[in-house]
Amino acid sequence: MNLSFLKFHRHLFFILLVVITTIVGFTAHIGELKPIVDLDLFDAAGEGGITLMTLVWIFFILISRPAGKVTTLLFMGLTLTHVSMLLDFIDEFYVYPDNNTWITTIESLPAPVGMVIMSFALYLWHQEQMTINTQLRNTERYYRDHSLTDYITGLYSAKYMKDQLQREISNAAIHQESFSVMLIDIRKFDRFNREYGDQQGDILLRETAQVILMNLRDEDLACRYASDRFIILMPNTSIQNSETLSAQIEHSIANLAFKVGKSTSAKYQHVASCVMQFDGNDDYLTILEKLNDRMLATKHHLNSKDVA
Amino acid sequence: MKTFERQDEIVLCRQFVVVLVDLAKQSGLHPDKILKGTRCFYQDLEQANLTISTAEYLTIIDNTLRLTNRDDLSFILGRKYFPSQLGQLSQAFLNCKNLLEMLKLCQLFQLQIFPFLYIEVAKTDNKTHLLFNSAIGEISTSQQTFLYEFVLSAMIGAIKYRFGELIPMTIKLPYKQVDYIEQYHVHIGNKVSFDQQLAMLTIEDKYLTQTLQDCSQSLKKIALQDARIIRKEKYMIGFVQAVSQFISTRLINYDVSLERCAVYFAMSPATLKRKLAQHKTSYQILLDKIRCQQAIFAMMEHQYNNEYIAHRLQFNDVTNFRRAFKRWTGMTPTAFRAK
Repeated sequence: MNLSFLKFHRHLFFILLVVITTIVGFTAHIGELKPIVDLDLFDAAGEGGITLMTLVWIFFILISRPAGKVTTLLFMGLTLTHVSMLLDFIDEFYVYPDNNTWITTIESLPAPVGMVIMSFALYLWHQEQMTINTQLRNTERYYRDHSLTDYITGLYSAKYMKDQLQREISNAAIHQESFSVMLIDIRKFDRFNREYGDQQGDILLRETAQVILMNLRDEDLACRYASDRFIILMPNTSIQNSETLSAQIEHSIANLAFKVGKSTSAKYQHVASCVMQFDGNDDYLTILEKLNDRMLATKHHLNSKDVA
Repeated sequence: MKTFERQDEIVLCRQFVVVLVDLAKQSGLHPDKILKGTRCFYQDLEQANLTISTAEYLTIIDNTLRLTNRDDLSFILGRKYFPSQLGQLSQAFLNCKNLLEMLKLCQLFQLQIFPFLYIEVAKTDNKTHLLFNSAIGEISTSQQTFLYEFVLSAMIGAIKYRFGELIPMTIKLPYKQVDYIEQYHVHIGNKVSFDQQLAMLTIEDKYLTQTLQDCSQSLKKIALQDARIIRKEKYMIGFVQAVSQFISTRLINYDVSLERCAVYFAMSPATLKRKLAQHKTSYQILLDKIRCQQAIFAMMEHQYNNEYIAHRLQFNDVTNFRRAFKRWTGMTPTAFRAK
C-alpha cells in the first residue's frame, strides 16, 4: 500500500479527530451508562461494525486521491455519515436524561445530508474520471486491470494485449471486419543499455512509448510486448493503412532527440517495425508467432543493409 | 576430477547474485527478502569473492519467483551476462575466432561460467546439437525453467554481441509452454518447442565455424593463461554431472551398474547412493533419464530403428525397450515418432 498521499490530508485527519472526540466526549458527559443487563450486544456489534467501516472508507479515499475539491467533498459526505453511525453506536451504551433526548432525535440527520454531498462528489468524480480516460487514450480499451500495467512505460503489458487480441478475433468473425497488428523494436537497445546504463534504458523505453502513443489514432491500442518491443492493435485497419502508420512511427522515433541525463547532445534511436493483417483463421498465439518471425526477418534485412 | 556437492560454496555472488538482487530491488523488494534462507545478507554482497552453495542459489531463485510477479528477470540476467559478468574469461571469449571456440571454453570453464547445467555435444550431418542437463541433481520445474531461460538468453546474447545479429537455431525444452511466450519471442528469438523430453539447442555447423570479426588469438591465449591458473586450483563439476557423464560415455558398450560406478568413483555403493540422495536424485533416475534422452536423440536425429536403439542401450530385446520407453515418456516409440 502506498501512503504517499496521506501527507496532503493532514488537516482532514485533524478535522476527523476533532469531530470524533467532540461527539464521544459530549455524549459521555451528558449521558448515563446503561446497566449491563440492558445492553443489546448484537445490536452494538452491528452498529459498531458499520461505524468502523465508514472510517475505513474515509481512509482509502484519502490514500487514493490527491487533495482537491472532489476529495474534500467525498470526505465531508463520508464524515457526516460516520457521525450518524457513531451516535447510533454510542446510543447502545448511554441513556440521555429527559432534557437531552434531542440527541436521539437529530442523530439520524447528518447521514442523509452526508449522502447527498457524497452523491454530488461521485458525480464530480465521474467527470474527473472521464477527463483521465481521454488521457489514457490508446493505452486502454473497454477493460481495466491495473495489475497488468507495465511499470516502466506505463502501458499495459503483453498479457493485456493477448486478451484484446482474442476479443478482436471473435469480433472479426461476427462483424466481418479485419484488424492489423504492428510490432516495433528498438534497434541496438542492448548496446544503448551497456553504454548508458539500465536506468537511461528505461527512460528511453518510456519516451519511445510516448512517441508511439502520439502517433496513434483514437481506436488503436499500444502495449509493451517484452523488453524493447512494443505491440500495437489497429482495429478495422487494412495492411496498407497500417504500413502508413508504421512508417510514420518509425519516422517520429528517428527524430526524437533523446538526451542521456544532463547532456544536451541527442542520441537518435532507430526502430524496426513490421505489420500483419488478420487473415480470419489464426488464433492469437499464431498471430504473435508469425508477427515475431516477421520481425526477425525485418531485422535481418536491416542488419545486412547496415553492413552493405 | 574434483566434484562439488549441493552444499559446497562454489557460486560466486558477484557473478550470479548481485545483479539479481539489484533487479529485484528495482521492483521494490527488500534485498534481504530475496536472500532469505541463505546465510548471506545484503551487506555481505559487497565482498569481492563471496560464494554460496548451489542449494542456496536455488533458494534465491525460489524467493525471487515467489516475491516478484515479473517473468523477465531470468532473461534480463542472461542478457546482461555476456561479456560483463565473466571476469577474466570475458577477454578470452571476446577473442575467440568462432562459435566453436566459444563453446569449447564454455565446457572447459563450466564451473566459472554456469555450474548449474552442463552441455554435451552431439553431431549429426552438418549439425551440432547441444544437450543440456542439470549438474546438480533434481530441480523443480520452476527452478529448471529459470535456469534454462537464464542460460539460453545468455548464449543468445553472446551470439548477438559477436555476430551483430541472431543466427538460426532450433531449441527444444523439457517443460510445458509458459504463458509469457512474448519473453521467448524477444529474448530467445528462434523457434522454441516446449514439452520435449530433453533440452537441446541445434545449430548448423557453418555458423559454428564462421569467422568472427575483431578477434586476436594472442590476446585470447594471454587471457586463457590467466584464467587457467584459477582453473587448475578448482576445476570442479557437480557430482551428479560426473555420474551422468560416467553413464553416458559408457552406456553403449560398458558396464553401467551402480556397483561399477561406485568403483569408478572409489566409494562404496552405499556412499554413492547417499551422495546422490543429497542431490535429490538416485542412480536409477539418472540412468533412466540418460537412456531416455539417448533413445529420443537416436530416434529423432539419426532415425535409427527400435531394434538398433534397444541393442545400443543394452536392452535384452525390443519388447523391454518399448516397455521402458513407455514408462519414461508415457508414449510408445512408434507414437513418439508420429508426434
